[in-house]
Amino acid sequence: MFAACLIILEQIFLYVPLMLGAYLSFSLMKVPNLSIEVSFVSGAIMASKVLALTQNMGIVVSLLCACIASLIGGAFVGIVMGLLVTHAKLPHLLASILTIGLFYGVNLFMLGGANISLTPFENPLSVFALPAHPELITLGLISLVIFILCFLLCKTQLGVSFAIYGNNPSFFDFYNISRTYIMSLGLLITSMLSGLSGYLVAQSSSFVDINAGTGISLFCLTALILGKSLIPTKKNIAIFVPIGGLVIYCVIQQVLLKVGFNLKYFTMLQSIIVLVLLMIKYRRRTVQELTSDHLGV
Amino acid sequence: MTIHKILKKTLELKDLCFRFAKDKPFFFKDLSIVFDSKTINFVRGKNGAGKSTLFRLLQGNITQQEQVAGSIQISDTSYQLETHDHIDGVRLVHQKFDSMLADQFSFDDNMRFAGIARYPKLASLPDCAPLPDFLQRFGIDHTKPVKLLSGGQRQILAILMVLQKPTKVLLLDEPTAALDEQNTNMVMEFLAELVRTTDVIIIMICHDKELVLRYARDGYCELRVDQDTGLRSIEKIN
Repeated sequence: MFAACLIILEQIFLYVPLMLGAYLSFSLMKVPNLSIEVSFVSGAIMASKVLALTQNMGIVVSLLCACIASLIGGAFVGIVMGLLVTHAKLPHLLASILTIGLFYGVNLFMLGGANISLTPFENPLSVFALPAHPELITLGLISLVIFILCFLLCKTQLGVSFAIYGNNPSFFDFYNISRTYIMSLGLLITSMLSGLSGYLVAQSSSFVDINAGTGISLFCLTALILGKSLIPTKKNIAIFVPIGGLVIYCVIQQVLLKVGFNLKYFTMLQSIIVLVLLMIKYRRRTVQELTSDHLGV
Repeated sequence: MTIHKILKKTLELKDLCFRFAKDKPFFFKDLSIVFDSKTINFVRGKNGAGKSTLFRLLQGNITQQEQVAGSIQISDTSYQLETHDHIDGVRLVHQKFDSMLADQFSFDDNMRFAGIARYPKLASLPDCAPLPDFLQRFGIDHTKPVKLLSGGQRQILAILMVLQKPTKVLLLDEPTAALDEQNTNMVMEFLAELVRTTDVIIIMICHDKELVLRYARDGYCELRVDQDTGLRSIEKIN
């Protein structure tokens, strides 16, 4: 039981940055930013390159550089996605699909193969010389820092602008506020957070895989919908909803594993969970609400 | 002893000539008109009479291929239209005012959103300017989502949001077109109070003749199209 709790905690800490990024993009901005699937891998690849370069610089420097590199790796994807939406004027979904295609090739080239191992490098997550669970403590601290930063961001003009974008994107045009700036930064932050999660997951499993990001959009949507459906929302603390959803998701996954469910069918189960929750929710919705909220989160 | 002298502010449009391109006929020619504060300046005209184009020119919103001459004087400041000068303090409330609101948020939230910087900062939301005292009489709930307010209340909010930035001239494009009689009266009562308590010059497009006659103290402006030349002219009707 204790071991299962530790696994759940680790899962939560690994995916907190990704969930917050997805919350910003999917829930606040209502943008179907599927490019998180490639920024997840880009962040991991960039961090793995930096890990190789910082092996002799000490574990703290190595950890900091790897985290920053993963943010930058994700940012590249966010910038390209942002340019496609704001300058090439492509719809969000099409821009996402093109970005995925583009960066699949870039990632493959950067990685030099389908996957690479991180075991030759010292594990920066064990930066704290603790007798038990040093990695978990580091992951927890990283997640906490990211959560606090996102919580503070949501209180600022920029954070609120993301929510206004999701409510009415044309709002900004009437008050001389740059919609392009808000859109670009939103996508950038989402991709950076996804990149960081990509690195944490890769470091935790000790290898970077080109297909590591496949299916994380559905994972994010499932967790967000679970959070929105099962956790009472108050406007001031809405940022706890994606975290709550993530906790529920990880608990469900572990419970299913304990009862002998084969996790290779879990993607199917995710879709069923999303479907059931949305069907219950949409029964009470008006046509207007349906058209304004494409993702149900 | 201080002597308070209430001066009317004016917007004076002088010798406006406008055409959409060099090879197109004149749309406006030598058009001159004065709009005052302390009254609602109504502009009427059939569809295609040039009301929206006039509003666009008053904002200094002119494209490269358009040919324009004349000047706009707002109180003591003069703007030459041919130099494509930026005209300060002219704000427009669109006919589809709902697109100017974040309707899932409250009245107070929306008021603060209107003050967000062009490039939103990592700072807290700006405080909104003090609301006029007479707003209380319209029974607006400041806490519930704006989509639950009446059409008239939402229109008032859109006007107040636009006024969050320094405003000399307020352009209203058919603000009552989508409203029922009760909400129309609410908006007109609000505008009448705004005219009385501020020196903003209010210019309003309105098709409802009965409404115009009821609220136009000093007459209204009618835009007309000459059927032969296609030239638009403006006439003050008292």
